[in-house]
Amino acid sequence: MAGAIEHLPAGLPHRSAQAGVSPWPWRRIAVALLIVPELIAFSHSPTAGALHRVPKGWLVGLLAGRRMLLASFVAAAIFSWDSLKDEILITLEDPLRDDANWRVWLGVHLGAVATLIAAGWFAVRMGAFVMPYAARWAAFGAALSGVALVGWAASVMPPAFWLRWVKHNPLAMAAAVIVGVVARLAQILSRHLWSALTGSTFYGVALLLRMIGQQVVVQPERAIVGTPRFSVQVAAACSGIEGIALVIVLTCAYLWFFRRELRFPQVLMLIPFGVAAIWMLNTVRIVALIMLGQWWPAASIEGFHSVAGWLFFNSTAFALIVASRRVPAFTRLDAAPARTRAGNLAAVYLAPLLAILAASMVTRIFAPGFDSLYPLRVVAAAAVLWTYRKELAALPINVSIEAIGLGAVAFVMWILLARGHDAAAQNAVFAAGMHQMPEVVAPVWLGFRIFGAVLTVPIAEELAFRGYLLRKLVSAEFEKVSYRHFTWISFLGSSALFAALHGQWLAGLIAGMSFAAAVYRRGRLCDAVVAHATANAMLAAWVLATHNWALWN
Amino acid sequence: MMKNSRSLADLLSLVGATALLWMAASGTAFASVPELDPGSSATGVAVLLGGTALLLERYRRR
Repeated sequence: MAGAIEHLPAGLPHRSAQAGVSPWPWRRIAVALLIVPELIAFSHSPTAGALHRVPKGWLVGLLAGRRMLLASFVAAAIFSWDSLKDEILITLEDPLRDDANWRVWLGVHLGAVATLIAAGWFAVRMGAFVMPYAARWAAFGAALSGVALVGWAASVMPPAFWLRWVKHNPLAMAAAVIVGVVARLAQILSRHLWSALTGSTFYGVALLLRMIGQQVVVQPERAIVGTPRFSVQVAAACSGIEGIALVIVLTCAYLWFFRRELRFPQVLMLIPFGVAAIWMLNTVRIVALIMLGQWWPAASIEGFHSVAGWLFFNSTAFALIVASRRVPAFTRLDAAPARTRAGNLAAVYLAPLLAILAASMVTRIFAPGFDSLYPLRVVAAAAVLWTYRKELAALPINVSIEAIGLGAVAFVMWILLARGHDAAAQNAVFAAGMHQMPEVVAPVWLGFRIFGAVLTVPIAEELAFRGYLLRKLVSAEFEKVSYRHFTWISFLGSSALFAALHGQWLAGLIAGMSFAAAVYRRGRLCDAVVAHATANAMLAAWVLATHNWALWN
Repeated sequence: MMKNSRSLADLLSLVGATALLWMAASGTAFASVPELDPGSSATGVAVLLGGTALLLERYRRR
């Protein structure tokens, strides 16, 4: 089977076009996406609201089981990815293969969904979501959901495709079921782990405070620890368990992905090292929170509290990566970093944005709410750009009217689609922050804000997203990829990550796609920078004219 | 030796997937973690991904 597809060209659109069929399986994509509005509509329906209000019982178990079923399906897809990918390609290669009844299955799906909506509406109207009737309604709804899911899956890909997938990957299926069950058991057992870990973190904080010569105040029954001037309650969420879980997930993913370059089993030592490090750093984080709170409570509670975890977690992750590459016992490769005449080329593209992000994390500690220290982001970005001025000077620079036009499109779409979370409150915070500044300082701050939005941010973000990521998603050797090399994965992937960073899914996606289109047109990164700068300049003018400051967040 | 490495790596994928699913299943409990508010997590994840990419490029074979 694998041999049958080895000779095929890499890109699906090219291959299908050669076969004389539609270059993209639009029907399958459309049917697959149908479930998105259905799920959104259901999550906002009165039925979903009523389900949340019913008393706990086996209904909750049923809903949790549904989540585990979905999770196990995703795990099975990951474990059998190579086989699944081959099966998908073969099925798409011959659109008529085993696929005569897709309309029937789609009808089954739509019928089940319609019945589910009608039954849910009827049950809510009749006030039936009370025990014991709720359990029966839930079972009926679960059965209908199952039918809808089977109909949906069979209309996207033929039933024979799913059966072949299961038949050819028995180990992956078994592993997925085991993972789902173990994850569910871990969820139940971890309820006890949370309290145990909270206790050990509590005593660890008290011990560390004494070690640095502080007078310690403790109330073990309320998990309060601190000094006479500032104390905190070590809640379950502060136990550090989420950091431990994240370290396990990321370390496992990293070790698996780079398994050919690492030495097993020695490198597995990094997992307990990482867990121990993140737990200890969580204790250090709470001690730092208390120490900072003694002389600046606002910065400690509103700033440091939400940023410190990421600072420590990212430091741990970076340390683990460096250790896996520099310690000879862990790596199969030469432990010395790659040395090329040009140095680390990725640094030119990534360092400016990383400087802005790192500066924003630091400024958020000391200026929570209104970012009065924003100029530091501009200075940090400018300093890094200046460091790489020779490399950046090699990029061709000239302005095109089309790039300006694409920037204007991105601006209009942003204004139409951007949705701020509690914009009124954000505007009030911004206005208050500006008002509290001395009259001389406020215009200078505003100047930095505009300069950053129009110059340093577009350059840094375009270097990272279009200069690096857009090409990295085409080839590992991104520096050899032309800016005109289009693939759907790189186009949509880089735009989606751009949107995620900005917290604006639709507006960000369209903006990212506009800036990518600017690059593709002439194969010049400067066009994306010009488009981005144009959009941000127009946005700055709009913000200043309308005082809708939330658009700058 | 290589076969053992493969098995261990596969085991890692199971452990990692289990931990990830456990986190997904415990979503409501993690919602109260202050670092996971949208602003902090977007910046934190971006620094994590960007920094990791930078480090891996540094050690990439050319």
